[in-house]
Amino acid sequence: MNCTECKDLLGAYIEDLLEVSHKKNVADHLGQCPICSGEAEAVRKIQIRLIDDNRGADQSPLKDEIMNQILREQNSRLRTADTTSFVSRLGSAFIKRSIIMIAAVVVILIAVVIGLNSIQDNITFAEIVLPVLNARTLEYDDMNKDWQIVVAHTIVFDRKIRISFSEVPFKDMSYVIDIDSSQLLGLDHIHKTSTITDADIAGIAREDEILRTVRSAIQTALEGPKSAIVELGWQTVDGQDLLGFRFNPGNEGEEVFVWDDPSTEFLERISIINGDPDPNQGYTLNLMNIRFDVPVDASLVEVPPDYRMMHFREFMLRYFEENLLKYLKPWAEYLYDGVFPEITSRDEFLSQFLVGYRLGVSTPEEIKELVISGASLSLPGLFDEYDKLNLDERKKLSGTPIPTMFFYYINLFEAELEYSGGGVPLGDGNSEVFRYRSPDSDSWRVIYGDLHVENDPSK
Amino acid sequence: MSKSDRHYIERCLDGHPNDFGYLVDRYTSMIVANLTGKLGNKDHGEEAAQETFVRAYFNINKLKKPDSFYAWLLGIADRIAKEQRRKRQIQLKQEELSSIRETGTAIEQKPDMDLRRAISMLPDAYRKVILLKYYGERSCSQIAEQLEISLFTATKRLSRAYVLLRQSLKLFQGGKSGGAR
Repeated sequence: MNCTECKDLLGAYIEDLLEVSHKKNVADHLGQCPICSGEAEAVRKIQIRLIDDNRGADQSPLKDEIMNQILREQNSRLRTADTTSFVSRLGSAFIKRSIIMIAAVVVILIAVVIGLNSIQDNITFAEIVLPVLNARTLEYDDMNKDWQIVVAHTIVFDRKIRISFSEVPFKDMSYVIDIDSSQLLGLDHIHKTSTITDADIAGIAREDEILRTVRSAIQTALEGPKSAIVELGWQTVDGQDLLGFRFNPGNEGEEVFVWDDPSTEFLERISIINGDPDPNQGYTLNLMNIRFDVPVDASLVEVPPDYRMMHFREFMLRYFEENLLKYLKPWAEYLYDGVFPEITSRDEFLSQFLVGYRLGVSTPEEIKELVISGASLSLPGLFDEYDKLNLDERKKLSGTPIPTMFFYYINLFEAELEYSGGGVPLGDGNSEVFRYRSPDSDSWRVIYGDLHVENDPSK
Repeated sequence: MSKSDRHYIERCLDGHPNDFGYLVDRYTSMIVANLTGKLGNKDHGEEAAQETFVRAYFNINKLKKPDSFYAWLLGIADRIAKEQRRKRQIQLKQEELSSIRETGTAIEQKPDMDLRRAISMLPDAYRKVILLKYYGERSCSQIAEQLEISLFTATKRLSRAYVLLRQSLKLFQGGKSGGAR
């Protein structure tokens, strides 16, 4: 092998891509030729420099900035509503492929909506709603206005959705759904614990569906005839003067309302209302205070460094343990005169608290009344029973804390539970009342008569 | 796991602008390395990289062969580097670059400016393989596949690129010590 041949093969030799015979030839030549072996050494040094140079450069912020700039510019181009050039600019791209013709029609329709509406008013339906489809980051509050049940603050960031709650039962907890991997990250900010599980578990990933529902409704409206979008003009909504639009997203009985005050950075509200009188069918989704492309702190969708990772079931039970402890005191105090009662079976024990779940009770009178009258609400059909409640009953339930979600999860997860509190006086720190163990955990959580809790690793 | 450039380009054209983000992820390091070398300054390089992607996104309908996205993107980057050099009246003379290099890298210590400059001066075929290999972290067979060349050609280009890089780096080193003397 001569030097020229060796140099040509040097790259492959260093990458270990040569056949055995060639490899040997190159190695032999390098052993004999100081020029080529010097060259090989120099190549290795350059390789190290190249690897180090790439390793030293973190381009993540730049990548984010690039996408933000593209989306900002895209939205600004759409907002300026240069209809003709917009259509022709995209048109040539779309028409290249017949399969994308449908999409081209959609875009042209959007552009026409922008164009036509621009003549009537400065701000148009398409201008208001397009960012909901295109924004890279989206923030909104999700509120069940009728029931006042949970206000969730949602941040959509890249392919992740972060939800935090301002109301019970999930106050001080956040969820991050990774849409691509369908994984759910749970963060309990009280106990500084975290968990990872499948996103479809226990219906927690509903937020992903809400966003998809809203986006698909908007898409349907933009693709449909302009006449299907009813301009409501300026109206006073909850004391605010807002510009409104209404349309049917394609499902019977469903209506979507979009409310905006164009002078603010928020899109005030998107409501999807299904007016079916059957509470199992009827619902209202309210996305409020919607903001687009605001910079999002990426650490919000990550686990804080000081949080301890737990199995999902253990995590959920620990989160609700605190609620449980709050409830145990009035339960023993008011119902059983300060001494934990004799209870023989697991179901009997659980059913006591599921009554509490139903009513969100807090006063002794309520507890007494409901233990007596509410005994029909038994396991395992807890949510079936809930579904049978009328709207007024649900409203009554929804505004109050739900101390016994703990037992709901005990049941759902088939966790172990042993009650031994019969005769233990409330306040007795030496006597065990009951213990539970998550299926994922090695140790028991033991609750004593004074309601302090200890870990017990024994069997 | 990761899909082809063509896939993401078609998704963009199909009304999914966020899918362009995958291409940004894939090529940012390469484009920044190339432009930093060409413009002799990290900030200018990143600014030009940003402009490159924005321009690519809004012109993606003009890309005739989606499989050649990389070459096309590199072409846009080179044009932008030219424009910016003109705009900033950057002279690519040895002395001026040396002064930028010395003030710039002494503080940040991040990009290896000599190396990037040497890469940016490589003939197109060699520059492509080096950027893919080290800033795109591709294997030789992936490079061969992407550039539609044989594995042998890919490794040969890589070998040749190392030689050229070494020559340029020697030259810069010589210029530097010559200047210091």
